[in-house]
Amino acid sequence: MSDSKYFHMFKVFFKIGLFTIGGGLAMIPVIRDEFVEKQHWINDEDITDVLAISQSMPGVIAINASTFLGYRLGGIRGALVSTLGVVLPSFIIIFLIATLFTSEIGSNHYVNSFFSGVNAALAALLLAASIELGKKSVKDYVGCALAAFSALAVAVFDLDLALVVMLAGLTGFLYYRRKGADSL
Amino acid sequence: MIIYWELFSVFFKIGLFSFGGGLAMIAFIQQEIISRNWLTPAEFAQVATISQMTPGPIAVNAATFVGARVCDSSPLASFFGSLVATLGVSMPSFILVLLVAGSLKRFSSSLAVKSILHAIRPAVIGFLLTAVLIFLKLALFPLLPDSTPGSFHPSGLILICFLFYLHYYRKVAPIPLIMLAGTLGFFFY
Repeated sequence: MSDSKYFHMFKVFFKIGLFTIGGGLAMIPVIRDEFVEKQHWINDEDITDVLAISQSMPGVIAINASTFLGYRLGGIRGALVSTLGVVLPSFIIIFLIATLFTSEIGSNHYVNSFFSGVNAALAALLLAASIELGKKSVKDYVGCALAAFSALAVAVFDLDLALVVMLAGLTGFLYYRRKGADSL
Repeated sequence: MIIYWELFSVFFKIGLFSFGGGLAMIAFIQQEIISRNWLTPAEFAQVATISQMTPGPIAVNAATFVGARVCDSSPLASFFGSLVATLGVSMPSFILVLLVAGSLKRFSSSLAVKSILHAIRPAVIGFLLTAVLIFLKLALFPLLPDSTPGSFHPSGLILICFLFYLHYYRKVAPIPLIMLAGTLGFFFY
């Protein structure tokens, strides 16, 4: 693979990192448009694989997707270039915000009022997301119990969230695997 | 030196156990960061807001921000703080994806993986609900300048219901909703 192709991959993933606000699955259509429609480097089946990897692996979705596609397009070097490209915009923007706007935030009444309003919006957005995702992911009583358990464990008992993930995974491994593929 | 290692390992852990992406992980990031006094609850809420309004994954944004803030003795120290935290949060994804990239079909269609994910997904809903509580508390009991929770603010409840209505039933997108909410904040708080 030529150096210009690596550079192009970097550019595209940089653009994706720069323009997909909120990150995550929002970047999939952008990836498809660029690599399937414009460059013809991959096909729709690869996009399905990107979705599979984003949803079945732990980690940051944008990095999972860019590492996977980068690797498929150009090996380890491709994976590095793509991942660097997707992370760099966030890194630059947030680093500037963190170092330039230091702690005068928080003492100004108007700034505080603004952020209190924003917190209300985040509560509303997260509640809507919980409902939407809950309809898709909670399918039986065990799922219901798992959701209730994880909420209580983290919010009330302050249990380590990593531990809750492992316990849930173990439950799934023991319970759903025994019930077989029909239960999934 | 120790602080850099701690930043790296904490964000490595966040990257390794993140499921469901972005918002679902707010509770996780908060748990790890507030318990170490790396940010105050007010600062954390700001990071969450900034992440909603700037591009990029929230876990990466949080890593970069916390890294810079924790190592604030000099601009160079901040830079290295951001760098190790961001590397930490990115590395698990990078390594794990490379490990299964070759055998993706076998991996993602195996009964064991499907069973595990089938149980982790509902747990993620629990994490999302925890995150709802975090911001509900911040909106109903706005923080005082010293970062302690203030008194109950009933009009916050009206604001939340109104915003929920706009987003859930009227399909107002997240960024316009956040901008509107911030502006309404001047009148409600």
